[in-house]
This record gives sequence, structure tokens and C-alpha cells, in this order.
Amino acid sequence: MNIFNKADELTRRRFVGGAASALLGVNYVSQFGHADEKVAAVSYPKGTAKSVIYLYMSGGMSHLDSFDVKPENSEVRGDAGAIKTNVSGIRVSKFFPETAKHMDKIAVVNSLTTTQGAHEEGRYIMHTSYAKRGTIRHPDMGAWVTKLSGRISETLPPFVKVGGGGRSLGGGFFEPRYAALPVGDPKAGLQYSTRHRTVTEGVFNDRLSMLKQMNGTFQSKYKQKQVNAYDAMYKDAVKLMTSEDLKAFDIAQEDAKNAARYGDNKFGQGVLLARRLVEKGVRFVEVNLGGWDNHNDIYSRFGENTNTLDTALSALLGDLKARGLLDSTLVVLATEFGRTPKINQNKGRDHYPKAFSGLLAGGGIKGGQVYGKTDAGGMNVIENKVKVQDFNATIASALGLPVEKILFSPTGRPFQVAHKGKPITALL
Amino acid sequence: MRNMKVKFLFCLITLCCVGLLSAELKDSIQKKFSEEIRQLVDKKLTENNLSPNKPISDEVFLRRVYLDVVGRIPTLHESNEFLSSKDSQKRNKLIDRLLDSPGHVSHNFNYWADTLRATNRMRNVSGLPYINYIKKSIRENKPYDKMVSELLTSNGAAYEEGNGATGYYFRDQNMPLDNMSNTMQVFLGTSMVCAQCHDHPFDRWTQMDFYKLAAFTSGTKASRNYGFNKKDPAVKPLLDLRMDAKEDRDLNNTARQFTDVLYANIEHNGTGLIRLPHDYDYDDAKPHDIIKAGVPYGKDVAIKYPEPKEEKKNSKKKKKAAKIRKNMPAPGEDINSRASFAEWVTSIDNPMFTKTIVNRMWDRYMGAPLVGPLLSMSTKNMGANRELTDALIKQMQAVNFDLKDFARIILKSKAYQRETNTEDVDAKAKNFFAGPMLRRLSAEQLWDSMISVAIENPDDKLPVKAPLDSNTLVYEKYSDLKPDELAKTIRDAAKDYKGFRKSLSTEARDMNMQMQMASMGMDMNSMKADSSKLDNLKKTYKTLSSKAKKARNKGDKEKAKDLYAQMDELRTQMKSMQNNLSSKKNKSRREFVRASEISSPAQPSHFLRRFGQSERDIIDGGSKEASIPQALTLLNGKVEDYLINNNYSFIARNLRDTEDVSKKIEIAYMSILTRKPTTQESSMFKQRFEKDAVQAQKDMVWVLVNSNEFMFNK
Repeated sequence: MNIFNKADELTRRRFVGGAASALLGVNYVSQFGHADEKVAAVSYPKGTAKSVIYLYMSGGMSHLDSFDVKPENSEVRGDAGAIKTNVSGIRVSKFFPETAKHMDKIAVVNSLTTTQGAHEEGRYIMHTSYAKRGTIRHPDMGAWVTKLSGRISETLPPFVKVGGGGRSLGGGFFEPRYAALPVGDPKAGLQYSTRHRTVTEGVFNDRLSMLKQMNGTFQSKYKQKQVNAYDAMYKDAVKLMTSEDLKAFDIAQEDAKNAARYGDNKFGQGVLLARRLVEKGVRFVEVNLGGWDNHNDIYSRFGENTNTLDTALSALLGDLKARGLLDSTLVVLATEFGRTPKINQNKGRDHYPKAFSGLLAGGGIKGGQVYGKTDAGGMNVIENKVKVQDFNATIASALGLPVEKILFSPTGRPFQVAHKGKPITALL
Repeated sequence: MRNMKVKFLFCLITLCCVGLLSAELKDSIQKKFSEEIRQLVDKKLTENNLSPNKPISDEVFLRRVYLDVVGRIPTLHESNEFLSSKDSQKRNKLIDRLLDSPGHVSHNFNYWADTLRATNRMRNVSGLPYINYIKKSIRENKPYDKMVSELLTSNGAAYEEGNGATGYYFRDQNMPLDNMSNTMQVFLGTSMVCAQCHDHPFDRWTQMDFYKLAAFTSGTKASRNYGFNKKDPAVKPLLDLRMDAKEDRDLNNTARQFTDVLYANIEHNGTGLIRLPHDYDYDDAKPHDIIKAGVPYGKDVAIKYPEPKEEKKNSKKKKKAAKIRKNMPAPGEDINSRASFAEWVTSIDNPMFTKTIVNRMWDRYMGAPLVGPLLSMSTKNMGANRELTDALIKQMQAVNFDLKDFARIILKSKAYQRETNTEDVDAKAKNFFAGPMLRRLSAEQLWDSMISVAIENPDDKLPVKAPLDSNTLVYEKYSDLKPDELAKTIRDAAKDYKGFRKSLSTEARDMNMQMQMASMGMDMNSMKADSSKLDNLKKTYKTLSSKAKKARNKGDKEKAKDLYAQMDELRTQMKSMQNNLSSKKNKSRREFVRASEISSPAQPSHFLRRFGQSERDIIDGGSKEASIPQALTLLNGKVEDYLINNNYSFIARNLRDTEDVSKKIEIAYMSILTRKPTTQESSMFKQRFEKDAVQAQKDMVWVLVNSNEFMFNK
């Protein structure tokens, strides 16, 4: 037996030992704590971010109306305008006045490019780094992060998706415990984590003690892991119900003034929830905002949508900074593609996968810079092309994850956290 | 003429007799098969110094067979009926009855939807025709080999009635190689997915093997151009419409709502030729070489290729053809190579086909595969009990892939009707099946079991006809229109595009609702009529009550007494009407439908997804892993609203039927766990009832639904 097997055995045993408290998310002790040794030392810088708040702009946010403005080009600039930010030389569209004040914390990537021009495929590759296939479901970044780095909080789920985000929970071919916990309405908190309104504490406890008697008989007959797992789950669920950490899910506990800063809408409150969760040790929170598929009359809705985003994003960055969480929390803004530079006859912009923008902030990312460049028409990337995989590899690196590490699917196929993406070292 | 009639009658009688005889014969053959299974299982157990598990009680049999065949626990009435029956043949009769019931279709659909990744929303088409096809095939008990063949050879219009098998190719639209990998895994238990891109690292499959297979379906395409012949003057109105739609967004959207449905189809039946990829890296061929179809095992398939046409001496064209673009398709004629492929796949000479379905069926009913992993076996692999595998393969072929018959044989066998294992079975150790495996209920079984406690006979709500959605409705309404009529209809609809879309979905929803009500023997109007009748009675009661008061005040005792008597009568009448109406309302509640009738897959936050329903992205992707959200859902979730605080839930009504505490406890146990309580359990709840009877009843239902026992099929 060589040293690696030994290490694996040790990890495995630890994993089994901790399984009872593990099944809401992943094990407290990283399942891969030792496995890293197997990978040859990688030269990429490894960041120290612990958590990710992933803001996903569903539908394809126009790069030309957000962070890749072309005020000099009357053919493509639309109504975006251009305003100064708190970093000299960096301009953003007029729709982001608040975010502009936090530009020193943000790295803008204006050279993103993808091969996928349809929504579903675009979303898929952005989330997983792999092209959508018929034979497999690749795990989302969120699942990779929790799989590779384990959980921080013993009680809270490590991966949460807030608001929409399609039918997938992103666990892919990983074990189901790596899939996201969905939260539909941020105000509703963690579903079913409090007693039913008709059940008093006394009744609840009586029920539990009767349940214990019932289960005792069954468990003494069927001494099986699958049965014990449910016993453990119930214990942990009850523990969670009374845990202090659970308050993280209750945004009503937030100082009203601070909560208002995020915006009184589902997305804003979702971002607030994300901050509260990350603060208490959730690894990865995705918050979705739709409404970016502006084929028609783009400027009729764009201002409203960007206002929602601008308000929440700026509040988040300010809040994280004030709480000293900015260095440990990576904030990502992503979307499936950009939009056509030429405004169409319906006063809208169509899908444009060749060039688009994304943001990275906090989590040790070097802010106050714009990485990559498109040409004057916003048509082609002319400097520092960033593939979706590179963007995701940068996220992984900021978290200190081994981007080259290979994990195998149940059918034995090899996969990596960001496919074969290369981290953008200039941002780390 | 009369003579003919007599002859006809005679024929009919003969046929009936033959039919009867063959039914008896069939029965006796199947009995032998069931017995053969037991013998071969026992033989292997003896060889390994093991003994079979004990036979199961009627109670355990009842719950298990309901879960395995119709995917839910039996309702209180169903349990009482079976357990009180003295018929010595009652187990076999129940198996036969359940296999022929609508619940079997529902449960089987969930299983195959998971394996075939059937979703309501596919890339460009609705998944409903595919879903309906699967349900219909199960309902008609289509032989398995026939169904597989239909899927593999499907072509033509996606929405045409009965043509939902085309969903098999729409599901993997634009991914023909992935589709072939899936075909090999699902139907032949052969994992070749690695060989799509390179030789398999630890199996014998080469990339060449894979491409030869892919050549069979090569050329198959999902398209939307069906019936569009530009030269045909009849389609001119549609072409004009298309021109106008370029300038008009609403018109364009409306047109697509129609054309995406009316012209969606699978075309081409395979060329038998495929081009190797640009990065093909082995010595046996070069990148871009065109290769012919071939099979990796089993009998060779002979395909007749057309004579190569003489090349035209057009040098320009030739030059153009010589420059091959990445992944350019191979040229070739439609020679229906898919039919040859389907024949090879489903042939009894194929060493994997029968074995794969036998392995699946054994896994379904016994709780673990007999031969090897469902999606990854080899031709040599025969499992831990080779004799049994061989016998089952022969049995499957003898019943001509009638899966209902095959299930019947297993279910009636004593090997199935044994207690489950109480200890863990090591997944890597050989399993000789001393009994079936203890299994957690699937997400669908759990949901459907909850529904069975909430309403009486939930299977009444299963639609007898295929449900509709906006797209299938468009096809139903407009597929017969001529091009000019269609163009006009589209232009009219475009005037209020949003209204049109909305009206479609409302219409589909209403029709589905009506269908559901009809299959329950209910209808909205009669319920509304009952409701207003009740309101009238309430009014009458009020009038009587004030009259009685007046009479009493006046001292007219006689009149008051008479009025009070009338009121009493009315009260009884009202109470029974209210009961009746509320139970009906409870039963028709929208959320109380079986999993097979909820969208596939359900919404991410639905109970079903919490408990591991497949996202329908990965073959057999359902999961039974425990999680805290599951525990929270049962601890604090809808159980309380559905079963406990709902006065008209089936269980609440049944519990109200008796005042006797012991009986109440028995009813709850029978309704939820399909067994009587033990003395110890009974006394635990009796104590509770003595303290607070109302609360005790609620707690009891809660405890039983939350118990480990409820969650497992033992």
C-alpha cells in the first residue's frame, strides 16, 4: 500500500465518521483534504477567498450597455452613455452610478467569449464550464466548490440557489448532497425550518419522543446504513431548527436600514440573504436576476433592471467591506452572452456570444482594473481573450482550488473544475 | 348471408375457446417459470451454505406489492378488502389486478421517464407527445422489444397522434453521438460513452466501434421544414407570411407558435455512413474518412448500400468537396439503416438485449441487479447466479418481451414473497438473493403514498386520455388547415398574440381539468349546483330558526317544537351534504395528483425533488440519499396541511368514523403502515389519547408518516 492509498483510507474513514452531520451538504472535514497532494504543484496563484456570491444575469446582459461602453461610437452606443467611476480611466454605462463608486474593488472582464449563442446552452456552459451534452449533467461551479473545499458551517447547507435558476439544482453527476438547496422567496427563509404554525413546542417534543420509540423497533430490526441515515438526518434537522446559524436565513433579522440599501425587491433581498449566509459559513450562493433578453425595445426595461442590479451590487460591496468580509468573499457577476452591437429594427439587441462582460470583485481579486478589450464596435475581442472556462478557473483559483485536479464521474470519465480553463493571473 | 353469420359466430366461439385454453396454458407455464426462479435461487443459496429468508405475511406482501406494482401504498379500503379475504388465491389475484390497473401505468411511467430522461420541455418541442407515448405504450402493454424498435425507428411529425416516439430523437437533438451512447447504455447495458472521443481506457471498445454504430443513425435530423415546398403555389400564402413576419415581431412569434408545432419532425432514416472526426488518432483509418455501419458484437448486420453514382466531371464542385470542414456530415442516401440497427438491437441473438431488460426487471422487483450495473455490463458478464440469469433470459423470450407477464412471474415467485434482508448487503459482494432488498421508497412512491392517505383511491384521478398542452393543442386544432387557411389563422391570431397564447394554455388546462373530473365521475357544474343547494338550505335553516324563536317567544310551544324538529332534520341533511361536498373538494384539490401527472421533472422546490426525483438529465438519475431538507419537509411541511389539519382528508374522515380509541389507532396504522399496531405501540398512543384525544389523533398521524418504516419498502 502506498502513501496515497493510506491518505485516502484515512479520509474515507473520517468521512464515514462524520457522515451523520454531513448529509445536508458535504462533510465538515474536507473529503479531499489529502487528495490534493496527488496533484503536481501548479504554478497558478492560489487565492484565499472562502465563499462566493454568484450573481447570475439570466437572458444575456448587454455588454455595451453595462461595462463595455462605446460612447464614441454612435452606431453601437445606444442610450448607454458613459460615466466616470472612482478609478480614473474606467468608465461604465450611466445605468450603474452606484457600482461606479466601488470600481476600486471590481475587476471588469470585457473580453469574455463563448461558443454558445442559445440561452440554455449558454447558461449551462457558464455554470459548468462544459458544453451541454446528452450523456451527462456536469456539476455547477457551486457544486465543484463545495465538493473540493468542503463546508465551513456544520449546520448550514454549503450551496444555495436563490430565485429561479431553471429546473436544475446543479449537482450534476456528483452525489445529490452537492446539489444546491433552492430558496424561492428570500423572505420566506429556509423552507420548513420552523415548526408548523399549528404545532406548539410541547407538542413537537412529544411527537419526537413518540417517533423515537416507533423508530427504535424498526432500527433494531433493520441495521442498515440507509435506515440509520434517516435517523441521523432527523437528529440534524431538529438541531438545525434550534441552531443560531439558522437566523442567517431570516432576513427580517437584518437591520432595516441596511436591508433597504439592497433594494426592496426579490433580487435585492436575495443578495442580502446571500451576504447573511456567507457570513455564517455558506460556501456558494447563487442569486438570479432575469429580464436581460432584450430583443425588443431594450431601453424600455433596461434602466429598471440595471437599477435593481446596481443597487444590490453596490450595497453588497459596501456591506462586505464594512464587515471585513470582502477579502474572504468573492463576488461574481456573470451572464450567458452579450448582445449585438447593432440595434435591431425592434429597437432591441439580439444574442451575441462573441464578446461580453463579467465582473469579479473581492475575494482577493485585484480590483480597479479592466481586463481584456473589444474593438471600437464591441464586435470582437482584440486583447486578452477570456473563455468561459478561463473565467471559471479564475474563480476556482481565487478560492485556492486545484484547477488541474481531475475527478471522475461514476462512469469513470475525467472532469476538472473549470474544464481546461486557465486562471487570469493578472486578476489574482 | 345467414350462412355467413353462422360461420362467423362459429369462428368466434372457436377463437374464444382457443383463447381460454391458451390463457390456462399461459398460466401453467408461468407458474412453472415462477417455481423455476425459486428453485434456482434456492439452489445457489444452498451451494453457498445460506438459507432463504422467511416467507412474508399478507400484510407485508400487500404493502410491498402495491408499492412495486402501482407505486403507492394501498388505501385503507384496499387493505381491509385484501386482508379480510379468505380466498387462497388472493395474492395471485391481487398481482393480476394491480398489473392491469391504471396505477401500474403511472408507476411504470415514473420508472421509464427516469431511464429515458423524458421531460415536459425539450429543446424546441414539447415533451408531452413523448410522455404520452410512453404512457400509452405501458397502458397497451406493448412488448418491450417492439417499443424499443419504435423508438429507434421513429420518424415523421412530432405532434402527430401516436407518433410521440419521435421524442427519442428530439430528446438528444443535435447530439446524435450522445444519442447513440444513450441507446447503447439504456437498451444494451453497454457503456461506450468514452469511445465517443477515444478508445475506451479500460474496456475493449474502440472509437472505431463507436463510429460504426453511429453510422446507423447518421443523417437522422430533427427539422422544422416539413411540407414546405417553395415551388408549390399552394404554400405561397405561407411564404408571404414569412416575408411579412420579418418586419413584424408579433406576427413572427405567432407564426412560430404554429410552425414550430406543425412542422416539427424527425426526418431521414439513416445513411449507414459516417465521417470520422477531424482528430481521429488511430492507425486503422484517417481523420474524415467515411466509414460504413457495423456492430461490435452479436450477429453481423448486412446493409445494402446503393451503387456509388458516377462522379460528374465538374472540377469546381470536386474541388469544393475535397475541402472538408470540421465535422462535415458524410454524404449518403436514405437507406433506412436505422431499421437494420433496431433489428440488431432487439434481436434475441443480441447477447445484451434480453440480458439488459432481465437485469433491469430483477433490479426493479428484487431491489438489486442480478447480472451487473444496469448501464454497464459486458457480453461475458452473467452475474453471480448464471443459471438463473440464463433461465430468466429464456423466460423473457418465451413471454415475447411482455413485461407485464415477466413481472407477474417474478412477483408470484416465492423468491419474491420473502422477507427482505435486515443487514446491509455489500455492494461488491455476490448477492444470492435470500430475499429482496430493503429499499427506501422512490420520491414518486413517497409522494403517491402520501396522496393515498389524503384521498380515497388516488388512481381515479389518472387521466384515461392523453393530457394536452398549448403545443399539442395547436396541432390538434390546426394541423388539417390548408396553407391559405393556416396563413389567415396565423394573421388573425397575431392581432392579439399574448391573448392567443394565453387562450391556448387556458383551453388546454381546462380540458385537462375536465378530463380529470370526468375520470373521477365528477363534474364542475354538479359540484357548483350542490354548493348552491347547500347555500339555499342554510338560508332556509336561518328562516326556520328565526321563526322558531318568534314562536317560542310568543309561547306557541307546539309550533316551536315542530319547527325545531324540522331544523334537526335539515341539520342532518346539511351535514351530510357538507361532508359529501367537502370530500369531493378535497379529492379534486389540484396538488393531490400522482407524481406521473405533475410536470416531468417537478419544480425544484417540490416535495418530489427534495426526495430525489431525477432532473431527467442523467439516465436513471433518481436518488434515494437521505438529506436534512427531506427531514424538515416531513417534520414541518405540508403533511400537517394535507393530512392532519385537513378535516376532509381521507384519513381524517376514517378516523372520525369511530369513537373507539383502539380502532382509531388501528385505522391510522392500517392507513399509513399497512399493518396493525403492536401492543406496545397501541398502548403508547392510548396514553396519549387519555391526555388529549384531539391532539393525540393529530400526533399519531404525524408520527406514523414521519416514521422510518413509512419511508421503506420492506
